[in-house]
Amino acid sequence: MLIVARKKGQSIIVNDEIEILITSIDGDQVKVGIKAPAEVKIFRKEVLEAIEINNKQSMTSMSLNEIKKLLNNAQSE
Amino acid sequence: MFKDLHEKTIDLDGSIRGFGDKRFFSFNMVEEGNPFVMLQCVDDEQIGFLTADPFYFFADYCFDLSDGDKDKLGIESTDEVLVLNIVTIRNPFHASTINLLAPIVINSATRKGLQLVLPSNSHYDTAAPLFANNAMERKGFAAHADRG
Repeated sequence: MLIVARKKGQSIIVNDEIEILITSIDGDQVKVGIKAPAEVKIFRKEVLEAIEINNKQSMTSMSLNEIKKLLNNAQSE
Repeated sequence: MFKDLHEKTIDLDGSIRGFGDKRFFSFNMVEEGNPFVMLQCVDDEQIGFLTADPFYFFADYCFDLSDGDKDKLGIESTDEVLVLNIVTIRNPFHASTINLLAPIVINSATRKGLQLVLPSNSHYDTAAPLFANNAMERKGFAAHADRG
């Protein structure tokens, strides 16, 4: 991992196409501006982690038949 | 469209986050007319996901498909697009939730699909209550299970 110190207003360029700009520093919060081509997807890390966790929680070893029974039982409640 | 994929294999190319090495899943409709589809990993039958047609439960659900994703999926027309969202089965089943923030978008013609993450401004929930709109009470979802 490359560690770089930046002051407010300074930038980092990734792969000649992504610019990361430190727009403000306020106590322990840093505001970061990101300029990138439209096809580059940018997410807060915790959003992607939440989806991974949700996928793992949702994974089931039930068979198709067991699922059908589950749905039938739920319908008749 | 769902029928075209029934019992076929789809290629999700490792896009299910947390299951990055899993590519091929069999697509199994619970029953014709039923909004639930079981996706079962072809090389590990212990790995499966109950998914549902989000539009059955949320008529207003919508999102943009970026040009990049359209290209990755080889989508040329909306007719080819099929969307499924992963359901988190809870007990009781009526408390189950659905991940509206990360839909699985499938090209029904090529059988390739990707789990996409919607942008934060879409305000969709990873655990939206599935039965909030009482869709099931109105339309029903029972399926005929095989005996045994």
